[in-house]
Amino acid sequence: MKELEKRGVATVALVSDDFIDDHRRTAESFGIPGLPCARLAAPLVSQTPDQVRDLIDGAIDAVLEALTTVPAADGDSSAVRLRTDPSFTFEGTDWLEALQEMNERMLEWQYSDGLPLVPATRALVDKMLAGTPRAPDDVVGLLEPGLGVATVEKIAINSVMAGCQPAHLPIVLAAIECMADPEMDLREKAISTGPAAPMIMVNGPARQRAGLNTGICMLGPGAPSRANTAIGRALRLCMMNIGHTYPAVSDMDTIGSPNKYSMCLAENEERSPWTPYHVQRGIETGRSSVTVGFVYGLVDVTDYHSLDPETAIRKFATAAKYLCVTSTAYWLVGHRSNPQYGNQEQEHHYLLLAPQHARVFADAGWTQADISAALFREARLPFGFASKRLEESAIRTAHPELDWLWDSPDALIPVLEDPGCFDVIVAGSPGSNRSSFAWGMGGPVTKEIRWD
Amino acid sequence: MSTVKVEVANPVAESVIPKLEPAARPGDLAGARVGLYWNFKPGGNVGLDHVATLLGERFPNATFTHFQGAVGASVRHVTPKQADEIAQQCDVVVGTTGD
Repeated sequence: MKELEKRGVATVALVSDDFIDDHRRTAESFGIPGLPCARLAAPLVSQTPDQVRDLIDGAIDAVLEALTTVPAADGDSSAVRLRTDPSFTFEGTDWLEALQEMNERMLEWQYSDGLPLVPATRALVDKMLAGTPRAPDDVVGLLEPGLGVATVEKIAINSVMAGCQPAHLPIVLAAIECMADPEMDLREKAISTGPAAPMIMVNGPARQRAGLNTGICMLGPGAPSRANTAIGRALRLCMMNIGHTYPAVSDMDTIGSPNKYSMCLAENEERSPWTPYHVQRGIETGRSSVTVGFVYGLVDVTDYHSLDPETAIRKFATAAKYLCVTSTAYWLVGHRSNPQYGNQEQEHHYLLLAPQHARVFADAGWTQADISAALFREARLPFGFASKRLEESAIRTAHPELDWLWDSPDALIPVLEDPGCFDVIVAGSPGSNRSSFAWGMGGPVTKEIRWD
Repeated sequence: MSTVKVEVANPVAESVIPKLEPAARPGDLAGARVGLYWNFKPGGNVGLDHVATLLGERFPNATFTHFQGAVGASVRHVTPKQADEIAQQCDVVVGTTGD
């Protein structure tokens, strides 16, 4: 609508009451606060046609007014005020009280993830900045949806708040580079009504340098994953305070997800029989990198019995055939695309393969590419079943060459578009046959970590 | 009673968004070319059809044209080229996200 207003066309968006704060924040982030909307009593999705028409009946006067009356200059302001003070001062009768006051205000302003924050004092921020040779005012990128300027200093501030150490900062910086890359198309992922959360995957010597856990309880909680937890948390705080992804304002996740607090893993390269994940993605051997991929969720893949890869794949593929995650068979309706960036994203899933499981495949001579190809072949659903979750018109628009499938509902179609969409990362403790499977939203982006 | 102060850096970043003035509005929709933009989320098309019905009753000389985003998947977006085309064909646009 902004693009049309820019071109001199009066617009009005139909927005339900539940999404009004989202609309306002989005309008502000596009530079057009007060962008007109007509409020609906409920969203249009999951309504019968008669219910939809009733909702429109209730909003038509507002539609007409918005199209024929110049909107107020200031419009309705967003629920989150983006303060521009360089710093804030909090008082108390002692340090504890002052810190409690800080945490209460940060919660009130919505700058907090809900857990107690480490105070980003000047001394701690300077100490954090010593973890990178980059200048504090270096711009790492612009973070959607708010197009906030992600300077090294702002990232450092949020990293202090998250409990990071200086050695973690280069990893957080690389993660922000991933998020700011047009290939990530962060906007759609950040504002989604679904629970997709960024999963950070670290490779190379950075894992040891930052004290990352690659083994047991790697995804937390607890002391062994202290670095993993802090780095993941820093990314969420950056999404909020730099990207302006605020819950219930721009983050419209229906139920939410604990994965959004923090999700950072480090590949267990030492226990992997294969090339590290980042080298497969084009990073030079011996260098360090961060890959970020958004995931809807993570599920246990327990298999204590399969001693051959074929049997294991048949079991593992059942996780990929879960229908009620958006990415399953999503390729039928096209690709996620942001017209501003011209990107075309494929959906990816991630198999976090326990070292014991990796051994089953490697002993039979399989590579990660073989695993990906086998998952692609095995993870299929009948078209008639898979298409029920998708708009028929969207499928016909995206793939007219597949119209024959409507007459062949039992034809099996792959859940992802090609074998390369199954990413295999060796992770976790070598002591057990329990892998994990994560359903992705869009695809991963990899950036090298810079230490000097 | 003595007080302790703790000063912390502001974690919030500024945005680099240029301010945009809203487009001028016609006084009414008599004879207007009305665009109806659907992003493919379920229910949006039914809603826009009804908008056209209701506005058409009030403004019988208005014309209505449906548009859908040219790129994307289950949610479709308008490209810059498409926005140019819509702007040439429409005086006003009603859009829906389904949300």
